[in-house]
Amino acid sequence: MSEVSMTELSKELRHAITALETSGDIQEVGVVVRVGDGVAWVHGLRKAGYSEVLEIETEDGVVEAFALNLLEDEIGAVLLGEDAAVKAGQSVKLKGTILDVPVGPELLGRVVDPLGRPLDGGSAIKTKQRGIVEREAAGVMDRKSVHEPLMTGIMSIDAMFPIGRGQRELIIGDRQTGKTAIAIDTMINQAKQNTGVVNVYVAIGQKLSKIARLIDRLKQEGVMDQTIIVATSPSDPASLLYLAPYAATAMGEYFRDNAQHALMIYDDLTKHAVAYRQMSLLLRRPPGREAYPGDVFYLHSRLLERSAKLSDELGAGSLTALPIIETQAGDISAYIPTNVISITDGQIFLETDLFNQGIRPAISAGLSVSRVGGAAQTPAVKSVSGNLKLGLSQFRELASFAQFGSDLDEATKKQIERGQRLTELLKQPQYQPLSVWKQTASIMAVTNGYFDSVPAEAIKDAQAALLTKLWADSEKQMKELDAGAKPSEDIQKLIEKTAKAAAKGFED
Amino acid sequence: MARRLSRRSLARYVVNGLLNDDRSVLSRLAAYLTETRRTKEASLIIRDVELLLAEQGTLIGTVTTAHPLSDGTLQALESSLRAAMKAEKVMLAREIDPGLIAGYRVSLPGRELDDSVKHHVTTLRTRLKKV
Repeated sequence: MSEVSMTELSKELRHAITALETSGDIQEVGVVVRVGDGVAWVHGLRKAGYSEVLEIETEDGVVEAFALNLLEDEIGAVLLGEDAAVKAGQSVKLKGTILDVPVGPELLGRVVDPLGRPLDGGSAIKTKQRGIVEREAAGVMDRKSVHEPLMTGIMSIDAMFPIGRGQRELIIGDRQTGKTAIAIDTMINQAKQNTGVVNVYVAIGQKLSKIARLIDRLKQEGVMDQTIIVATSPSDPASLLYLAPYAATAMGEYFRDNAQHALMIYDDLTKHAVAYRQMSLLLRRPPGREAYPGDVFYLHSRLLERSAKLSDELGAGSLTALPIIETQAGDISAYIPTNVISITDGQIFLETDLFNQGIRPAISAGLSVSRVGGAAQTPAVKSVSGNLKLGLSQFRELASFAQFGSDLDEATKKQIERGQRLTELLKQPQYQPLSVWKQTASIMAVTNGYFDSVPAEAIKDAQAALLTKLWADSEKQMKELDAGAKPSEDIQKLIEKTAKAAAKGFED
Repeated sequence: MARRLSRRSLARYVVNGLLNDDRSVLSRLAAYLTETRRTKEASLIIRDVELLLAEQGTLIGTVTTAHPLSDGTLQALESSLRAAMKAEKVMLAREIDPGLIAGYRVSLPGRELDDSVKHHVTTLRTRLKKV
């Protein structure tokens, strides 16, 4: 290179340096007036919007917060980190964005916090896209009616309270009644049946030991690869617990909007409402019933409204929600349970008494309902479970009457016996979801009376024998049945014949 | 008992008085704050007054540096701020804070221009924490 060109280059560089503008920028700032219990009160920042992210410069770095109370004189902001480093007098700046989280397939198999930061000790998560945490739900014209089944693999649910893709089905019950177990089994079933549905499990204020056990189980079952876990523990700030379901929904929406199917599990919304109540009281919002703020209904309705089945024009993706609510002493008429019951498209009510009697899953046939799932039920299961719910409800009523006397007519006795068999059949161990053909054949055997000669306590053995024989002798037909179509006459005859033969080995 | 007024309303009242050369508004404000037991809010009301004055074209602020600032640099800074903020008058007080390490920080009512090394180090530390 010649001497002249080097001189010119150096001249140009010097000129460029002098022409450079300073990197500083005049930013709008406020000041922390007071801080405590995870809430900072900020003076200034008149341009701040609702839910906008603020940055507080502390000695230990920048702490983020989001504005929730926009008053005439000050802003109430909820801190997203520890409040120990935040002090009165520190300057606060607007970040210029509302809350968003990383979204995309890169999150599959990961455990993250509500801000999308990894908690599993894995590498940093680099996604191509970010999703807005508080996003509006899809409009009427963007939706389609729920028509595809989302199989849980739990016979009593798939037969009596079917869930469709895009539906919101509440799982409600007292503590220790198997609410989370239903959710986990549903996630496992998505992997076992290769449905392609992505699971997003949101742990809201759950013990970390419980989350760790859940992750272990999901890994064992091979479900983790299609699962995202958004975890918060009871020791996290209330703001993170409040954000968790919204952030997770943003992650689920990515799949919904890209013509895929996702399943959201909110475990549980009772703790979410409690976290919101804590935040609201600290923000000095007026308390209402049970000290919850006035907008606690909107808190859950705007969250669950984001679950939807999208129209064909938008790719026909879906987001199904299984929110969980914990009741106190079976009281479903409390504030939060009634709110969420009215928002969702049905509920699965779990009873402590049934659970203690060994009927697991402890689903109450009388109080559970699925409002839109009927249209989405797999034809195979639908064809055999017509009056299952009615029969089971009648049996439980008859059984309670029968306790008063033993003189029963033959018809009532038969109904009770069949009810007992049905109850036994619907018992299902955890982590063992059943495929469509297994559910269809099992229900058919009992409701059509092929197992009438089998005592109730031997029903599970008879069922196992029937399923083993059917798979061994007629694998092709069972695969055909597994596709979900209504069973043909030949298949019905085959099941009848095999069931009657299986029953012979278990007669009294 | 006097009616409770918002800080912003009080600030607006004071600014109107000051712009009309009525200095007695300050003693009236002091009496009101004492009667309503809101003397602790005095500093925040002053901030609001500064904000409203800034809206009227008078910027009162401070420039903080790690080392003493020369008169020439201060005047240059004031004139560049006058142009940038479209203000009629800019009054900057000088402050020394060795904690800034180097660079400067200009604090104006509701606004800030922070080009100090301390600020850049804090930002860097936060970014590293996130990674």
